Amino acid sequence: MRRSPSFQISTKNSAKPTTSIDLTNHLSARGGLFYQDIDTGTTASIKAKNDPNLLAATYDHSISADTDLNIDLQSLITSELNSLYPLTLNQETSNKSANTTKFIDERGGKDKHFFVFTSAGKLVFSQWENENHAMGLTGIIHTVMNYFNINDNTAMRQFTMYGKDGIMTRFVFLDKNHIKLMVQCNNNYESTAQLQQQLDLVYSYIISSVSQRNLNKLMLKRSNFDLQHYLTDLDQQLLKSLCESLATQPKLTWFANSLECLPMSPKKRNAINSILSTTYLDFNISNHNGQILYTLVTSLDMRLISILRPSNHTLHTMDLQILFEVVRAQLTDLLLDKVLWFPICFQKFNDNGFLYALIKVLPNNTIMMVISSQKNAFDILNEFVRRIEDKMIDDNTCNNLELQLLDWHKKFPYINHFIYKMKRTVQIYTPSQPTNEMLQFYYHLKNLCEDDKGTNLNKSSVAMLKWKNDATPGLLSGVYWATEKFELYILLNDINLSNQSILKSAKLLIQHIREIESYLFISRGVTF
Amino acid sequence: MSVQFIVLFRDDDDNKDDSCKLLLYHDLTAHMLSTNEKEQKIGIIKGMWRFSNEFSQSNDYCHVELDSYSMLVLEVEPSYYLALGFENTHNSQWPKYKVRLSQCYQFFAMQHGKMQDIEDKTLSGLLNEHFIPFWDEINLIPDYFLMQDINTAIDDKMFPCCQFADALNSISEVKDWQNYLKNNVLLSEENYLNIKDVCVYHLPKNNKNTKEYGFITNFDPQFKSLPTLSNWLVGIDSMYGTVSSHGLAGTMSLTETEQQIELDAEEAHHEQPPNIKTVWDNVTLPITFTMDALKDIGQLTGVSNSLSLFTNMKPSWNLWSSSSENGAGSAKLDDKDEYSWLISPLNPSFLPKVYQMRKFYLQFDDWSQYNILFWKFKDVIVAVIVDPSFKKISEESFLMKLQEELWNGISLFYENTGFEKRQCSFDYTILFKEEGKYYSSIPRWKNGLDESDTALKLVIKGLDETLQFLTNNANRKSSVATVTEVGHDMSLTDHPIPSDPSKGEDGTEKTDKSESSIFSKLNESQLVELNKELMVILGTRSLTVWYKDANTKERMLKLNNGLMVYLLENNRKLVLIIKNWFIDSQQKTKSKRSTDMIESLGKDVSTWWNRIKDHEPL
Repeated sequence: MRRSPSFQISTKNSAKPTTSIDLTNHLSARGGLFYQDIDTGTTASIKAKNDPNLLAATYDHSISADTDLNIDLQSLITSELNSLYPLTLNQETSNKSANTTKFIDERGGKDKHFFVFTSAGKLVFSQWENENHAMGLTGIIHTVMNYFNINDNTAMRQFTMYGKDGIMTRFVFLDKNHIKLMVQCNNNYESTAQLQQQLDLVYSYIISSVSQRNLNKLMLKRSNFDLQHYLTDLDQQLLKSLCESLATQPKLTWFANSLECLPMSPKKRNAINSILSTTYLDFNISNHNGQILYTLVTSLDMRLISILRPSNHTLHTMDLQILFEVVRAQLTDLLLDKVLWFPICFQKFNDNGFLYALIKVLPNNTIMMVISSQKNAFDILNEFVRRIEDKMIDDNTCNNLELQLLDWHKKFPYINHFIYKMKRTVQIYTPSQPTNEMLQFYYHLKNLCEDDKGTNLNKSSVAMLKWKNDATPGLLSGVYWATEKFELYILLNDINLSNQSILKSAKLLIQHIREIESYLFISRGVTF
Repeated sequence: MSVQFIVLFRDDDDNKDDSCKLLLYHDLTAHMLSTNEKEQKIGIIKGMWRFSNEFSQSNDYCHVELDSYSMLVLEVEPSYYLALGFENTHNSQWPKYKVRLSQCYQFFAMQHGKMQDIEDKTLSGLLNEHFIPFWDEINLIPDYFLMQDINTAIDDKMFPCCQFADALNSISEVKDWQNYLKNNVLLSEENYLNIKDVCVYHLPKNNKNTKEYGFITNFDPQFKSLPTLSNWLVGIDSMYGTVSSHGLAGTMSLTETEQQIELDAEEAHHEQPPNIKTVWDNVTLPITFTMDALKDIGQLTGVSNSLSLFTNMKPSWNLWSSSSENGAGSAKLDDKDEYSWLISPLNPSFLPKVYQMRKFYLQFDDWSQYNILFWKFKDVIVAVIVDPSFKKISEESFLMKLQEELWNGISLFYENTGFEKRQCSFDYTILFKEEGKYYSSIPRWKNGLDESDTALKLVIKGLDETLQFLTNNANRKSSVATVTEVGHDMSLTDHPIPSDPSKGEDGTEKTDKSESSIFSKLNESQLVELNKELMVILGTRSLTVWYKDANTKERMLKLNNGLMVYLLENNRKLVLIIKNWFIDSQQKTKSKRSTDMIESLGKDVSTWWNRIKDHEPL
């Protein structure tokens, strides 16, 4: 079963007309740890509801306003720090992005291309501009892969060209029997293992709309089956946008291979949890047992708020990442108060069958995602969502969910930015979305301790990286700290610090995060 | 058997029929391949290379990783491609393969010239002679690449240098012996411009102290082939355990002993052991090769010169390796053994030409052929590079005089070697990128032929067969190159094999010195692990190369197993420091104000570093 070009979108069942979808407030909430609620752009967002084109514009606008604010705050902090380090720090070098851009260029999308083709060499998808040319390239690489397969009975993992100027071009492969994937990559921060994981993500994405069983059936019947034209336009579009963001705008959750949670007070989280569990129980009593498999509540930017799941099942991170990608791509429609209902195959959960997902945006700026194994459960699920929605509207604690951590910059003056990953729950926390350059730097930090296959050198390790230019002041430095419990990535402020103070700050930060762990992470979710 | 195949082919751009010229295809696993299969493989390699040209230009080399093996492809000269396939078990070690492969080509070009200048017919023969034994030998040594130290993975143009104490004291003045050699050898009226350069190496037989091993000095800063020549020399020393005439002449090779061949044959008796055959195939010298000849060979290898003591041909390096470590042993040797011409026109004329003179293509101002002579004095090897038009070099009187000057110079050196002897609790490598010189305390691998290895022996093409013929198979294992095991039916009362007590001495000495290197404290599996970890840490280096704006990159890594690695790289040099932080007690005592990353390695490192950081190579 394929994802139909028009999802079954139903507006008639939507509850009350929403009044408070405030884009500025929530889409830009990513940097929002520094400021209190600012209610700007309400009119713009109302317009956006009617005109999807405007949405993007609003988004952009809100982001830039957000960065300005950050810079203001930065300069405030800077002035404070300047008194401490008058020589080493100036506004320019402590500017949030200047720290990295000094050494790392923003790279365009030209340095990475994904190719997907079938075992017969037919092109399914490519990011190459000229499709004919892409077909030629696929032909060559298909021959090479088959040569090694047949002659040496082995599969190609990767090959890398090293240029005379130190630039390398990598080709990483993933052979999934019927489908073969390749990524060509000119960037220098992602390791082979990371690229292979991305290929796996792309593959899972295809499976999510075709399912492994269907794919096997199709390909076994006719090995030169044209999968490209079997996929719908929407599938193609989604695939394209996924690959493009993998190439140009890698997401933090992909980098850390985990999910992000919305930081909120335990009181609020518990309120939502209890709404979920009571509704579920009510619902089960009224003869709908087994219809609902998973229920997820996220913020508009796909940060987890709560999860309701069977006690013996968890969803694989990658499956969730794919679900979030699909939802993200449909966000415009969802914000117009529509309900999304579509089949999806979770490759890591069960790659043979489909599950059915109902997605809806609630008035308190959360997204409800309910997943069922029943094909015709739409009405039941919709009713379930409606009841939750009603309860949430009644409950005041379910508004303004995000918790503002205002003072971490003051507490940790040396730290410019950080990412904390809790390994047990596979969740990350970061105070603000890192820029591409920051992420590149974090990749380098991570690579220090990882071999080519992505395994850590040691259960626990600390790595430091420092880049500087002797001619101009300023440096780029960071710390990576991995133990069995957590991973911590820190980008330091552009000042000369002793290792003692760096490590001390890192320790304090970990302590601090541990103290507020219940605010930042979901430890179990609600189970039944 | 880690290396599987080696291929060299030419892919001309103007090639209309799109076929490649196969110049060398050697399969080390003894698989028989049809021409068709060989051409298939070349086609694939070529295809991949051209494919990647779609995405990037100016490619240098390529690393292909498959599930079962890996492959390296180098464009050694325009349109000449050299490919090597090897097992995947230690895939993380691939940079070492790359460095060795690249060096293998450099050695070829040094000895025979650029491939494009050689006719295909001749080229194929030369390639077979050069590449096949080179990789066969490597394959004979199990885990060869795993045992190579981390320095061999960094760059193909870097070579080890001896370290002198004055460098640590920030004194870098030209020493007396250098002045002597310069004035009396290079600048003397007769030699001026005729002797292009003199390269001095210190290659002690024992491998205990890396700081005293390697290149010492040369005199012409324009000598651009120094890395190749140095690596070639050092390569001979580590592969054969010593530098001898045969090694330098290129006639020496490593094979399995008959014992080992039999063992192998038992394991796989359906396979014909290849080495027995080659031994007899290689009889290239006439049988008239007489006892006198053997006597001369004996002399030039520093072997006892009486043929009646033929079985005493326990070569001098054996003696040295067991006794000269204590310093007292060398006194026992007579002077003749201490210095001699290894390669010179003084060698008997019935020997192949390579024993009289090596003709190498080297680069000073331009790339051309020069004559090289080799001379040794104790542990010092001197390479004298002579202009080919200088005919006097074949005169005995001239060589005697030259030898005297060299002797005087190197004696001065031995009077006060000034090696760096201070011990430190960490290991380091400092590489000066431009010169390719590196100073390291990380132990180097050296073939331990003269110790307990009975699986391998050295043979010399042509000579050994005659030897066997003459001695009527008295001792099948005897070889001019080495007598690794003295035959049991021979009485050798006057030259006893080093017995256990002396081994004990060695052992205690070792434990004393082991303070200096963390490598010597580890057992084999730990070493393998450490090697792997270091490869990973060094591997990430290549990822950050293109951040040119950041001209100083520092990284430090501290693992839970005690390993602490610091890596600094800038345009000028690369510094690697390895430390075990478990055993570091001084860590707490350093000042808190320091902002240098290196300070956190401990006080001993920072004191050492502050002394050495501004020092430039000699």
